[in-house]
Order: sequence, then C-alpha cells, then structure tokens
Amino acid sequence: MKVRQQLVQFLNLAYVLSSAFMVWKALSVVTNSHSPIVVVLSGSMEPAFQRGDILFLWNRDQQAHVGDIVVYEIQGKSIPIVHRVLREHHNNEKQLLLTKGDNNAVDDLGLYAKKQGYLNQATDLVGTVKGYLPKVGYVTILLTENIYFRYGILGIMGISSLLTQE
Amino acid sequence: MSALKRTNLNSVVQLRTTVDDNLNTSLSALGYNESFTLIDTKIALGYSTAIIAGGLYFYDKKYGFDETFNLTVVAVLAYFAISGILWYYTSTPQYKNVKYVGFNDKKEKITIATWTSKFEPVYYVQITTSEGQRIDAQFEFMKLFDGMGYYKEEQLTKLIKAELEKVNKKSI
Amino acid sequence: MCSHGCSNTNSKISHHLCSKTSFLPHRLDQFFIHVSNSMYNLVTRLQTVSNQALSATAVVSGIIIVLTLIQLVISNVWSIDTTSIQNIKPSASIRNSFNYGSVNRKPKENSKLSFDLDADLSPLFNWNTKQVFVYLTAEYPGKSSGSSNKVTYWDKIIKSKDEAKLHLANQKSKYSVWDVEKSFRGRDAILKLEWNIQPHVGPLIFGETTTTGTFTFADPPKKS
Repeated sequence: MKVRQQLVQFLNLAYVLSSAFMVWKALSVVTNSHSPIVVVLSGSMEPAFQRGDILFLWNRDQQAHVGDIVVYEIQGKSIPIVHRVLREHHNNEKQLLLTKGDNNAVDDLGLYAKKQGYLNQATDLVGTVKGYLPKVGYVTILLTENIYFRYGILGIMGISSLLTQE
Repeated sequence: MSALKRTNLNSVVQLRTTVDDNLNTSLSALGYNESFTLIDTKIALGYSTAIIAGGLYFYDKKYGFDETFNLTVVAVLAYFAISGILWYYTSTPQYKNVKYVGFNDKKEKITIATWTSKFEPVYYVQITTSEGQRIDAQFEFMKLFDGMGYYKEEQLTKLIKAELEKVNKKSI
Repeated sequence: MCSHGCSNTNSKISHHLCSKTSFLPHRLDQFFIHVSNSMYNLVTRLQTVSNQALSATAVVSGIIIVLTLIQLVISNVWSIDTTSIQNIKPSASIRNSFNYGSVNRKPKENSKLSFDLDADLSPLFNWNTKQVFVYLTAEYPGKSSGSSNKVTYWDKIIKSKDEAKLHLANQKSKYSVWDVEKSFRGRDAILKLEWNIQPHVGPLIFGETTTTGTFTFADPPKKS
C-alpha cells in the first residue's frame, strides 16, 4: 500500500513534466519544426521583433515567399536566426533562399557557412513565422541569463513541490 | 504510523488525503480485503506514459528531430492514447474519485469514492456495493480528527459501519 | 483552472475546525504547521494566478486577432489601387566579389533599377499595427521549365501612418541583384509592391497592391 502511494506520488510529478514535454513534441510533429515556438534573442529584426518576443513557427509550407520571415539554422552554428526572405529561386526540385535582417545593412551571406551562397528551403529552415506575441518570452531570457531570477524560481518550485501534497 | 502523524487542520485537501490513506484500515476492520486491480492498472498505464516520454526525450537528444520524426509521431500518438485510457479510469463517473475497492469473505464487492469541496470541512463518501446499491454520506472532518490534528480511525470505521447497516436493513 | 485540489483559504472554516485549540503558536510544531500552511496557500494561489493569467492572455489575444482581421477586411487592404510604378530604368554590371554573388571570382551579372513610385498604404495602419514592411519585388522565369525567381530591389520599414504615403521619384534600388545563374539579361520581369503588417499581437499579414510594372533585365556595358 505504502509503495503504491509513493509510486502514485512520483507519477504525479512525472506527469507534470512528461505532459509538458509531449505537448511540445506533438506541436513539433504538427508544425514539422523541432522548435515550434521560439523566443527572439537579438535585435536584427527591430522594430518588427524585439528581444523577448515569442514567435510561432510553421514548417509545412512547400515554398517560402519573398517577404516571409523565417527561422533558419546554419550547420555547425547552434543559434537559430530569424530573418526575412530577400530572394527566392526555385525549380521543380528545390528552392534556394537569400535572407536579410530588416535592421541590418547587408544580406546574410556573412552569417552563412563559408562559401554558402543560399539557404536550402527544405533542409535549413526551422520554420516560417506565422504569429507573434510581444515580450512574454522575456521570462525565458531571464531564466537563462539572470542567475538570481533562476534560483529564485527554482527555490519557489522546490518549496511548492515540498508543500503540495496533491 | 500515519495515525500518529498530525494533519494540517486548515487544509481540506490534506484532511481528505489522511482519511483516504486510512480507508484500508477501517475497511479491513469491517472484514474487507482491498483489491489493487484498479490502482495497479492506473499505475501501469501511468508509468508507460512516463517511459514513453522519457525514452523519446533521450532518443531525440541523441539523434535529433529529423532522424527521429517517425518515431516521434508514434510516441506522441501512443502517449495521448494511453493518457486517454488513463483519463477514462480516473475521470469518468464510474471511476471518478474511487479511493478503495475491496471484497469481503462472501466475495461481495465494495467501491468507495470520496471527495471534498473547496470551502467545506466535509468528507463526501459514496459507497457502491456489488448489488449496485449506492450510499451517499457526508462526514464532518471535525468528527474524524481531534483538535490537534490527530486522526481518529475508529470514528470512520463506526460511521461506515452505520451506513452499511442502513442498507442491509433496507435490503432485508 | 487549478488542476489539483485547492486548499481552503476560508477563515470561517479554519475557525470552525480549530475551535478547540488556540491560534497562538505556543508550540514549535504548531508554529511550523502554521507557517507551512500559509506558504502552501501562497504557492497554490500563485499557481491559480499564473493559470488564470495564461488563459486571460489567450482569450484577449484571440479577441484582438479577430477584431484586427475584421477591420482589415473592412478597409479593403487586399486591393489597394492607389499605386503607380513607373519610369523603370534597369542597369547591369559585372561583379567578381562573393558579396555580389560571385563564386570563386567568376564574373557574375548584377542588376539595379531606378523607378518612380507612388503609393498610399495608410489603410494598413490601425490600432494593432506595429509596423508595415513594404518591398518592391521582381518576378522572372528561370532557364529550365518549372523554375521561377523572385527578388527584392527595394524595401522600407514604415512605422506610422504619417509615413505611409510614398512619393518616390528616380529612386535607386536598395539592392544589387544577381541570379543563381551567371547571367539573366534579356529576361522579362514583373515588378510588384508587396507589404507585410506586423501586428502588436497576432498573425503576420501579407498582401500586395494591385499595380504592377514590367521591365527587361539590361545587358551590362561592354568592356572597352
């Protein structure tokens, strides 16, 4: 009996984590993007997007359009970039894109890998930005960049898990 | 053990939890043996969701999103299907709030569901017998605990016994 | 809202339940129960508040999105016809730098434009418009069948309704454009003025004005 109680208690905790993770994964599958919701970290798209804004991505478009704002990843560089499509060239097999930040003076050639002239729509995109929520993501920036905030939240969560019996 | 522990009298949830945890003691005093089939089913289902999610987490971390896409689809579907079954066993009227299932020597089944409402110190009990009879009762927590927060299990035994006798008289 | 059972915070019940005992924390464990109880209430309250904040955000965003879309449909923004694109003068040059599309220093044809443009984009501005990004694109076919290209020659960030009336004369293109292929001289292109509304909250909205212009990619000047 006692063992079952503990198993159930642990399960309740596990369920909080696993359901959040699986909802995220379900969203990934639906949008076909490994990060369907991202937080803006840099100012290269200002004033459209600022630090802390939340972007909703979709990665099931057959083609990108000029003017679309896309999130892409360059192989070997870990940080995804949010910029606007400046040019697109496509044939029946593939589509090549050149991007640029609205607030940058030049296009993204300097951000791509060495000698890379274009992005490949099928493989390099994390998704196309479809929707936008301002500033809400600042919480995650605070979490990753401000240790006081992080330990404060961790402390509150710890206390809450100790005191919440059900 | 738990009878020696004090319960926070200001929290209805904690009061209910203490009584729920001690249902087994009272019912074995009344000649019932607890059956763990329902709770074991729920635990098994619950742990399979946890294993699916945990497995997917590490598999995804190791091989990346593109490589694991098909498996992710399968895992997501399985996870939500099992969660659905689990939801059926916890939240449909038949199983909602069920805290105890037991059988006596005559193989008569008893199912006990209990719940509380937010702002009342009242323990709501619904007992279902194998003949399909349903008893609804309300016990005040004040009668089940002393002023210091110690649980008085013999009180609950008495109250449940009284409720069961009422039904038996009726059926006779 | 609150997925787990909420503890009670009603003083009436506390009083009712504790009527046999003193409220004063005259013993240490009594005191601990008292403290842990108020912390527990604080945490559950925080949980309830954050859950409610999340739902409220979702509902408010939904209402804002619907109202914005209705307003844009009423202002008929998808058929703005107060636009003209004229006096299009293409020019071309040969570049050998990677920043102008050259791979391994092979010569690459680059194209520029000058143009006159009039447009009134003020209908795009309403209370949920953070900015409008307006861009002049040229669409032209590729060599193989099924291939097509679209490039941007000029763009502008418009932050307020006051700046939304554009009068450009002899405007030079902002970008020097090259193709995936070495050369694209002689091909015909269609110019369009397209826009993107960035809302304060909600989906990105795209559209184009009804006016178009045409030009043919120029030959670069012959080496003397």
